[in-house]
Amino acid sequence: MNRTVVITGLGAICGRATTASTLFESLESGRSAIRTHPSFAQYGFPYSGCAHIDHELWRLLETAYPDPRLGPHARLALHAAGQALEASGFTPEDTSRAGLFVGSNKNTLTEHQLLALGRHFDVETGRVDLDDYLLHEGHDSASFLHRRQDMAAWSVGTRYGFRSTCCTHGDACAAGGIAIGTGFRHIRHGELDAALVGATEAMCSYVPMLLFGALGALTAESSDQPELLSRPFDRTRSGFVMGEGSAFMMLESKEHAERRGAPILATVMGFAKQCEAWRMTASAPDGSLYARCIESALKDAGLAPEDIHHVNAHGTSTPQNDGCEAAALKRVFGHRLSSLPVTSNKSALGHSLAASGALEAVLSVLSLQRQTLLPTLNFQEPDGVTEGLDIVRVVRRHDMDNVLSLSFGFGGENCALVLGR
Amino acid sequence: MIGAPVYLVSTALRCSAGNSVEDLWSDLKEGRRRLVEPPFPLPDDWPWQRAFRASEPSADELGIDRKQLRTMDSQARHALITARHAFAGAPTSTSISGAQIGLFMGIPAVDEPAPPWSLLEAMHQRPPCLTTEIVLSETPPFAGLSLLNSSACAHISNTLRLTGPTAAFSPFADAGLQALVEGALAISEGECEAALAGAVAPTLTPLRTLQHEHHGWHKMPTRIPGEGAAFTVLSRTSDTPRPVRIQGYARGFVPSDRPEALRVLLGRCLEQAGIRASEVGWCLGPCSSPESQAAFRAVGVDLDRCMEGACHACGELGPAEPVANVLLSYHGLRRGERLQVTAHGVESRPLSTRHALVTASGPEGQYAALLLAAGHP
Repeated sequence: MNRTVVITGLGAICGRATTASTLFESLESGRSAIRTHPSFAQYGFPYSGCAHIDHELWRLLETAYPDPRLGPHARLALHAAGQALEASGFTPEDTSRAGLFVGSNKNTLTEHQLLALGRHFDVETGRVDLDDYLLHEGHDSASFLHRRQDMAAWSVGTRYGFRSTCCTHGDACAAGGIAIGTGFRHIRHGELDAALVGATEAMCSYVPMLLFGALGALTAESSDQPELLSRPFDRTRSGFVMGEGSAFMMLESKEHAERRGAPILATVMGFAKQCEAWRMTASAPDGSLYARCIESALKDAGLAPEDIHHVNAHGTSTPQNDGCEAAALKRVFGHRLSSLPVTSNKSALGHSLAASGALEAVLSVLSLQRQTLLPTLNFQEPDGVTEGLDIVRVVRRHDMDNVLSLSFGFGGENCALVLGR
Repeated sequence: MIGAPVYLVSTALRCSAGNSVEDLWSDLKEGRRRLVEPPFPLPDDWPWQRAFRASEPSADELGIDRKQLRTMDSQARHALITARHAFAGAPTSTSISGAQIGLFMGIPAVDEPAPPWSLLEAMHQRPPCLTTEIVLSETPPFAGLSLLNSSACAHISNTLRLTGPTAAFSPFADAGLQALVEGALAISEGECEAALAGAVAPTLTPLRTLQHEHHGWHKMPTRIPGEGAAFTVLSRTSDTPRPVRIQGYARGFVPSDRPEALRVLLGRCLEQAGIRASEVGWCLGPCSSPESQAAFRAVGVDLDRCMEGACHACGELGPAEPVANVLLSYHGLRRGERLQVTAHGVESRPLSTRHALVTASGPEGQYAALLLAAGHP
């Protein structure tokens, strides 16, 4: 059984945008979500630029979703998932065969929890005195749930009534794309009629930013113009900028969507997910492994390279990723590359890890619908590897039927999605 | 639905009982519980002060250099050594290219490489301070990789040169069975010829005790924290005399109305496998709660054939626990033998049918069931 899988609803929250449409329009107008984080300076923090959710918006989300078991990533997911469901008009009562696939990474202690734990470390025994900690810190027994990455799937599934297959994907930066692709596969082969798919991430906080900084992945540049820090494919790119957010889409078999009169926004055409077996923090510099993943997705979609009219790139703004990705695109698309527009949403939204693939897929759907290419902010000049790519610098009208959306994860988990009109 | 036969062709286990399914089987049968002191004190009001630990593999055992070892947390090391053993035991590991072998893994998120003890010590001695200088000086340079669960997958794919389809499923208990189901589906749908599939338990850390307290597990003798990992290699073909294959599965999310929802899921699993409940000769997984028992009774599974399984001998293993139970089922189906909890302990019984059922249930409602069958279709 190979059924056509369509997209019937979108939802997103990222930066200051709280809907998929406003996010698209924000990027369309060239606005960046990257700005200076107000809290990090007190710790002598070198990575203060990020595309964080504002304190005021967090407060609104806490008010809307007050359950103390919910952590930041779960609240973002509830917001975006609810939007996608509302837009599609779908309710799980429509079918018992509706799955839920959510990408999310591990969450960490906050800096306040870290300080609290440190106070109860027994230097003589070299151990944390748990009893002392539990007695004196007013520990909320639900707070560990904030860190668990499946809490987003749990909260969305519970609130919106999904009772069939429910998966949390922890595939690093490819988790969002893999969650979408897995839901697509299950509908295509007939196990499910519908799936709510997406991802969430809330990593604009002290510990994760410090750890990714220590890995050398974040840009270490300090700037009073943080919106200029993320420069995908540009000669001067120097590392990624952290982002956070969530995006979801409602997938259904075409028959199911038509039967209930749902709006059909786009089609999921193909998908591939692969591991690289190259290195933990680098990919094959010749682009061959990314290219293999792209070619598998095209084959899965039954399309040739010339059928792709736009690439929504992973484009992290790290020297390694963008170089490998450019090499891969040259391998797959060859001479067509100069007329194949490529964009990186991370130039404006930062890199929201698991959520990035879902956010970019949602923006790709809107690009298809509106026949509009979003700009890659801050791209001025290519280097030897990224030369030859048609990087979209300003918003552009463009006729397109199929978009390729790419996500490449740390450690070599790769994902390619093909979306069609 | 799994459209073509998918066989288990190799298994590997690492837990407190030892480094093989036979070790676990033996400990279960003999009633041995190798509890040891954990690396931190458990809260005073817990009924026990010990836990189940798995031995830490060395760099030599893992087949990696010491530099790479420093980039791995304990969870990743347990996963790699177990995956490596499963892979080495599979005939497919030499006959199929890495591009045709997938990797599907269940990984819990409790493991916490940061903060390391040395950071806590530094913060304790200079309170109240949290300076980036201290954190950076006491944090291993690769700790960021442990924020991403897929790092454990990446260590496996890199070491074994696997470049097929991949997915990392995160917690809870059902994640291990999700990995097996998705691996089987990838083979069945032609994405790959074989798949390494399994799961790892959360590492013992103080934060894990908070989780056990939250769920009330600290008062349950079958939920004592354990460490370990369990893997199998799934393949399109098997040439062993008594092969074991995946014949059916069901997955669901049942936070409420559990007995009825579990009954529906179990019924779906049996229906997909095309067998009656009476043909299930052994059932491993959660079976002591009234709601589980009601669901088993409703579909007609004999409760005398049910046991919780691995946790009796090696503790609560998170997503690795149902995979360990899959390996016990594999072992039992091949030997024609099962274990049963009786008033006198655990006893061996003949396994009179060709089918075993493994279930996994997360405390928030995640549920998965996998039906294994001995022999070819």
